Parts: sequence; C-alpha cells; structure tokens
Amino acid sequence: MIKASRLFTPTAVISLLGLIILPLGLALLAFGQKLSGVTAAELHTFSHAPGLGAATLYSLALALLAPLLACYWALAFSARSSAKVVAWLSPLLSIPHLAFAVGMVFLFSPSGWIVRVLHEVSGAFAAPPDWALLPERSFITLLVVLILKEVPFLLLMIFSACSQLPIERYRQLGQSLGYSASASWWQLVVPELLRRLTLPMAAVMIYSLSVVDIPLLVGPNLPGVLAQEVFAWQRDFSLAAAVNGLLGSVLLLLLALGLLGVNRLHQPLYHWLLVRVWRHGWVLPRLLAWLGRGAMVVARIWLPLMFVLGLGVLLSLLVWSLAAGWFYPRWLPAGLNAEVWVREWPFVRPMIWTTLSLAIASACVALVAALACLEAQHKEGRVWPQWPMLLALLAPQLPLVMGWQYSFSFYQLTPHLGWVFWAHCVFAFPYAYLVLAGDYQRYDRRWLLVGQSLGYSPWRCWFTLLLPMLRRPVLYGWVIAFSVSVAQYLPTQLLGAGRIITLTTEAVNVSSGGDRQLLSFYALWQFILPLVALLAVTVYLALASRRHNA
Amino acid sequence: MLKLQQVKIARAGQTLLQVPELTVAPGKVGMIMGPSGSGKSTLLLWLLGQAPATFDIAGQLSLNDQDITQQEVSARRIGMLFQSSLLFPHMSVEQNLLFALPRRAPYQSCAARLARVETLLAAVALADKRKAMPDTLSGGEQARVALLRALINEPKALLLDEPFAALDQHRREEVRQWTFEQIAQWQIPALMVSHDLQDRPALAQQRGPLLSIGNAATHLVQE
Repeated sequence: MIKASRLFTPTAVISLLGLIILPLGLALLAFGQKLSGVTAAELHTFSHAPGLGAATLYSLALALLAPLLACYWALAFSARSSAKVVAWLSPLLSIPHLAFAVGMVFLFSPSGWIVRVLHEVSGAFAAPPDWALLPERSFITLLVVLILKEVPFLLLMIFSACSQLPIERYRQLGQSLGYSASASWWQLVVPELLRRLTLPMAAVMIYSLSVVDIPLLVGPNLPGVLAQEVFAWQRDFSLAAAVNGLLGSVLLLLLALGLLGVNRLHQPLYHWLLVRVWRHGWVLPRLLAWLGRGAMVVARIWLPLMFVLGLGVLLSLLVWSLAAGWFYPRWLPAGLNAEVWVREWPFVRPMIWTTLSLAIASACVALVAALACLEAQHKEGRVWPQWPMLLALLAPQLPLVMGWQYSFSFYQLTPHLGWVFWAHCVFAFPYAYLVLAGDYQRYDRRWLLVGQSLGYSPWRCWFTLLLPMLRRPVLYGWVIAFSVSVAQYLPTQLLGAGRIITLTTEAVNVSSGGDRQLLSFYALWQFILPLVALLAVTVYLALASRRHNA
Repeated sequence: MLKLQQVKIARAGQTLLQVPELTVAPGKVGMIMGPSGSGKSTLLLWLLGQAPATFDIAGQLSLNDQDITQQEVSARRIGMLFQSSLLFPHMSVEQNLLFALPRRAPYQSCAARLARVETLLAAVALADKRKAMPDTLSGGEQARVALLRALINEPKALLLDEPFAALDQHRREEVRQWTFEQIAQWQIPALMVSHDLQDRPALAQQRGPLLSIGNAATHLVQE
C-alpha cells in the first residue's frame, strides 16, 4: 500500500515534468529543428526588416526601465512601510494588466476623462490638446502602465524577503552608527534585498520584454516593440513573415539572455557603488539629498495612488460601457443605457464561462503543484534553488508559446482547449509558487511533529494542521494564479488557434475595432472576474477569522 | 518503562553522544544535561521518531519491553513538549484537547469526550478558558494546556525539550512542580532535556536518572 504522505514527491515530480521540463523541452526542440533550415539569405532579409532596429531598442529600453524604476519605487515605498501593507497588495496584483491599461487610456489620454473634466472646469480645451498626460498609444504610456503594475509584485517579493531578515536590528545598528533611518535602509538593508530580488527582477524584466497584449493596446505603432512585431509576423501568412517571426523570437531569446546577465550585475554594481561611497566618505550634495527625500515622499503615495487609479479605471470602464453618445468635450455621457450590455450579453456569456473554467481549473492545478513542490522540498531535507520553479517566468513568453506551436504542428496535434489549459497551468504555477513559498518555508514544522506524536498520520496532520494554518497564503496564491490565467493572451490566442475565445483575447480583438464602448465592456468583464474571486476569498477569510475569534 | 540501549549519535563521522543504557520508570522524570550542540535535542527527536537526516544515529529504544525503534512517530505514542507550547493556533483550547483525546472507549460519544476535556480543564483551574484561543492565554496557561494536551492523549512516554525555559522565574517554579506532579499522577515515564540543574525534580520519588553530557565523557547518575 502506498502511504498517502508519499504522494507529495510523485506529485511534485509530475508537476515539474509537466509544467517545467515539458514546456521548455518542447520549445527548445522545436527551435532547434526550425533553425537548422534557415538560410543566409533569410537571415539577411530579417536583419533588414523595416523598423527592426527601433523595435529592438524600444524593447530593450522598456525591459530595463520599467523593472528598474518599479524596483526603486518599491524599495523607496517599503523603506517606511509595515508588513501590514501586504494585505493590500493582492487586490492590486489581481487587476489584469489589460483592463488596467484600457482604463488608464480612458482616464489620461488627450480626449480622456481628466482632460474633459479640466475643460468643464476651465473651458481651456475645446479640442483635445496635442499634449496629454498620457498619449493614447506611446512608449511612455506603455512604460507607465508596466511600472504601475510591476510595483505590487515587487513589493510582495520585498516583504517576503524582509520577513526573513532582521530588518529592525539592521536599522537599530545603522542608527547607532549615526545613519538616519533611510540611510540605513538604503545602505544596509537594500544591498541584501537586491540580492534576494534577483529572481523576481529577472521575471519582471523578461515579462516586460515579451509582453504582447499591452503594447497591442497602448504601445507605440510602426514600429511597435519587438515582441509585438514578432507576433505580427507570426500571424502573417507569407513564408517570409514566418521566417522573420522565427528569427525575431530567437532575437527575443538572445535579448532575454542579455537581460538576465545585466540583472545579475545589478546588485554587485549597487554594492560596488556603496563601497566607493564608504571608502571615500562621500556625502550626497545637499540638493541631491533634498531631491532624494522628496522622491521618498512621492514614492509613499504609491498605495493611495494605486487605489485611486484602480477605482478610476473601474469607474471609467463602467461608465464607458453604459454611455450613450459620449463625445468630446462632454465630461459626462449624454445618457446611460444598457444597450451594449443587452446586445453583447449572448456573446460574452460563453466567454465568461470559458475564461472562468480555464482560470478555476488551472489555478487549482497550479496550487496543487506548488504545494507538492514545496512539501517535497521539505521531504528531501534540503531547500532547492528557486529558479527551476520559475523557469516559465524566466523564458520570454512569446518564443516559448511559438515553440509549442511549432512542435504541435510538427506532431500534427490540432489546436485544442486542452493545450490552452495546459499552457495556463504552466504560467499560473510559478506565481502560485512565489506567493506561497515564503510562508510555507517559514511554517514551524514542529506543529506537524506534535500532531504525529498525538497519533495522527503525517497526511492527516498536513491536512488538519498545516493547510488551515496557511489558508491565507494558500487562498491568495490561488487567487493570483486565477488572475494570471484570466489575463493570459498569447497562449490562448496562439494555442487555441483563435478559436478559444476568452474575455482577454476578445478585449484585444475588439480594441482593433476602435469602438470604445465595446472595448470597455470586455475590459470591464476581464477586471470583474479576478475581483470577484478575490472578494470571495477575502470574505471567506474574514468570516473564518470572525468564527475563530468568537 | 522507557529504555534506551547502545544509542550513539554521530555527525560527519564524529561521535557527539553515547548512551550505553538508560531506563526511566513510570512516573519519574529522567534528565539529560549538556551544552548546546551536544546532540541532546537530536536524541529527543530520535526518540520521538523523527531524527534529522543529517545525523547518523544507531541504537535501540523500547517501551514497556517492546522494541519500537523502527516505528513511525504516529505509532509510537510518545508525547513531546517543546520550549514553546505549540498549541495549534487555529483551534480553541477545547479543540486542541479534543484533537489529542484518543478515539477509543470510553471516549467515543460526543458527550463523553466533552466531559473528559471539561473535567481535566477544571482540575487545572482552566475551566473558564475552554473556548479561548491559544494566543489569548498567558505563558503559564499555555504551558499547562500544552502538558494537558500531551497527557490527555495517554502517551506511553513523555519527552520534554527545555519545557520551562520560556517561562519567567516565579512562574517557572510553579509550572515545574505542577508538571512533575502530573507525570507522577499519570504514571508516565518522562525524559527531559535541559541545561538548568534546577529543573530536576525536587522530590526523590519523582527523580529518574540524570545523564550529563560533558566535553570529555558522558556521565550517568542512576537514582
């Protein structure tokens, strides 16, 4: 008879095979095969593709700037924050990037809500201004959206790392040596934090490099970022475009490798600079110090800012989806009606169903896989390095999905809901793992030992003791995995051959039609699903802890 | 009767601790003393059935003349008390005790189980804390509930890993005496790890053997 407690290791092995080794292996094999057929002429055509240089530059700049700015913003924010903030991060993490981007454009574009309100108040903008807070489509808009959405993820990682460090003692030590609280944060804590942030930062960089759906919506046009160009080639029918797509994704892979290298230099560089400062006894010029202090204050408005933005985004999507005739410069629509809701309901219903079932199922698989891996690590008695679990985040998504597509066509597999589901699991798993890992590894295993000494099997103890005690991170891990699945664009579109339509793929499709009302309707639904999942979990946890304290 | 024979703990080829023979009679408290890193906590974990994989441990453990060296933790029926109470934080005091109460006669009906828990709580003057959550209890109360949880399980032996170290001075004396009384009353052999000689039972009839682990050799005092 197999003991139930021995199920962890096989489950972990199956998870690693199915969610890490298979996806990466398939993609690598496919690229190997495809690349062997590329000729020098094709390489030449590719290197002269119009806009390639600019697209590459855009992509590199985006993949470096967004994560680094988000990183220092998050570090500045967490310098004075208590770990209580963590509770507020999940709602922000669960907002889908796409819906957020659409809402941001509705708010900040030249004809957006804010300019309209300004006009209403001052009468200054009878026509949409040439400048705007955020142009409808531009590199800056893309950058801002990515930064705002990457901060909560990095904050979660920072707080998780902080809970393993004696932060308070560092701070006291620094202050006893005459450093201010913020100086001891930046000079004592941050170098250590940056070391622990290497992996999450790598994931964020790779995401920024290969994200496609956000640039399709708000990114620059002609050329767009590299991932967007490659995606366009991939969807083109001509043979030349297909080859360009292949070579483009190889270029993405090379850039990704370069970025991983740069990322590894980040912490040593920071440290090296600090040592310079200590050795030479440099003091920040007064002006810079003032600026720095100002920046720290600004950084602290991030949390309220995000809540205001999140609500603003939700509201603008809702109002737009209900608006009847809302032309510039009116600051409110002429009327509200549910026409779009009524008309689109028969179309959106099956999409909600598809999105929901994919998200629920893949979040469950991701969670079970993450739990099995974490438990198996313990059984083996040593802590595995984290990067293998996160490989799906460390490989750019577009080449990965294209590799799968190549191998499916090679093995003559038809596009299928099953493949889309599998891909969602692959991408949801590392997030579930990341959200859970910190609390799981800190869990005091002596509780399980006490349970066993009272006569309960290890399996029973795991279920009745560990799982209920960790229900908060477990449930939030599930919600994050759920929202990652809801937000998946590329794998759904490419592996489903455009036939599997979720709220996300439909929102991107609709955006090319330029109908704001329709777009807001689908973006709103994409926003609502994770929000409902999160609310359900939060309410459940609140009720459970009320019962617990009663 | 708890009996250890020829126990040897080694790490990376180096012997840390050797116990040729040690026997603790029911109701008595044996004690192991030694500096930190001497392997005494590892010995307790091995007795419990969950030795860290990084140690090489050989030896024989028997309970009431039955060799249990190869048994799993949950089959051994040995209770353990740690320095912190380790009450399950998501269960009330009553639920912690119900969790530990064996599911066999005469504790099979709901009424009988609740009555048993209530009686025991009343006996240690904690009846009013029945519905309290562990984190609302004081350190001394937690220690009492933790011992009760171990005892209510009706273990065949009890291990104590520095059980009083986390308590403040005057509370410590009180909990200590109470613990030894309970152990004597329940007639369970107990083995305690500590580095405070004062933790040893004051009454001769509660005293088991004292094993002190020094740098040079292991020294055994049989009472």
